[in-house]
Amino acid sequence: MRDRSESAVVFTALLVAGVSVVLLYFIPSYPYLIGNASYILLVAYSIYWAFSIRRKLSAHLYRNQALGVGLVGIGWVTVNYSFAQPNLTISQAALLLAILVTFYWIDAAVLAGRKSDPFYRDTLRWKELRLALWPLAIALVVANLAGLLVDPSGFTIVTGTGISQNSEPLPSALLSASFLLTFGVGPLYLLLTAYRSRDRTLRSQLQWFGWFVTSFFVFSLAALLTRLPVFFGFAYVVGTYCLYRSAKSLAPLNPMPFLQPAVISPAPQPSSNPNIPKLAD
Amino acid sequence: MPALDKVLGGGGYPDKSAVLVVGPPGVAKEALGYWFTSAGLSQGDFCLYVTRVSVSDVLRDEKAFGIDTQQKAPLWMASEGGQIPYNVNDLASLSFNIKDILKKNSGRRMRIVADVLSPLLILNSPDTIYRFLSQLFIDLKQYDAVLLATVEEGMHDPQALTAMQQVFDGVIELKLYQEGLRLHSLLQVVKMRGVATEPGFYSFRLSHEGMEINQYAR
Repeated sequence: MRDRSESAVVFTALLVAGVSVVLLYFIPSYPYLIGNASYILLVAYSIYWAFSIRRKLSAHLYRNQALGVGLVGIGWVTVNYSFAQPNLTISQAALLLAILVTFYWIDAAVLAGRKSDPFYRDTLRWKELRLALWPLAIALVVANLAGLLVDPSGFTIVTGTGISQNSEPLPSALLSASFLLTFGVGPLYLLLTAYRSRDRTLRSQLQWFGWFVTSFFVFSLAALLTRLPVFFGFAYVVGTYCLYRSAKSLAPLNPMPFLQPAVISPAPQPSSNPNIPKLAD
Repeated sequence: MPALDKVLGGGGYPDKSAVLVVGPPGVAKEALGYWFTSAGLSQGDFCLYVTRVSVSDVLRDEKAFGIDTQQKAPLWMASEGGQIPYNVNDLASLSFNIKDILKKNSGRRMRIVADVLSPLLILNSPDTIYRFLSQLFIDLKQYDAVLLATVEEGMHDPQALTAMQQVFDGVIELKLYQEGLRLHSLLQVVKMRGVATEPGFYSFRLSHEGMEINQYAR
């Protein structure tokens, strides 16, 4: 549950971040760190909540889910920072690792969602499928990284100042497979998990994380199609807000109670109603 | 668990009682059940564990808390891997099986842990669950058993949850509270019939040694 002062601070940070990120793309001399300070602070705030909630949870499934949100936040900042670097290999490596941690979160969320399904169904045999998908996801990242080290020119390069698309079929296929595995298979499982789960908290968390991934996907696509990197700026701002809401939805947070004494009830008495069976004691 | 026993007036859960533990998923409700079972087994009590998940999942969770029930195991009624199958759609057979087990072990002290209340509440009307629980409570008192049931916060209509709390002898809440940038896990004994409980909220922390509970002061 968010209080008004927290909402106001988050909204202000988001507004400053939005303006700064957009300015960053239109004014080449705009200082990168100042432009991104609000945005990075907001992501750091989301990461803080993800790890704080994780520390208070005891079941490993839910702890993993919170860890996933925190790791995605870290990956998100790394991707943003790396895009401003002149080293193209680093920027692409950061993107691949961000995809991998997103896959980790999807895995954790689907497993946690099973526990809140009244029928305890294994969504499309995820428990077995993940054993095959994990090695595949890691192999794709390794293959992509190896390809980047050998010949970075074949990959789609995204920086703060421009986008150059890949020309060679193999790197293109490897990168597409990584994307497809995470952003193709993941939503299908997450939607089914959310549908089957009766946990409102989990559903809210999945919903906000879904918006986070969607905003990243849509704005990235827009940037690639229009060749305008400013769309990445929008992705950062909208995505960061969704990430923050997703982190705060990991568990129901109650406002602090006022201290009050517990009620001491008297021992149970047999009922005088003849229709209620007597308690055999 | 000495720390929780102290909060409950020194004597632990009262005999022949039904206690409900309410809290969000993952907070530590199940851990209370693990320790309750483990303590019962070490004292020679008969323990029945009714779970909606698989036995292997429960054992893995128990291991994470440093609890080993492999040597002295409870009787499992589970959706996967238990001696007695648990079918969420068959409330009548669940009721019959529990009563049958209680009858077979009459004369012994018995402990029952159940994490099935949330799915049952989702799939059945509150009236049906109320009748099921009323019958179960009569059996508990007849056969000298204590029930520890868990229910998820945020999964049910608050009115249904409040009504459910009314029928139990004891209610313990484990919840997360936000105070500025800090999070607190607090325990509150909402009620415990026949026991003079220590009032107020308690902060709790879990470790391999058990649950550490301290009076919470703002």
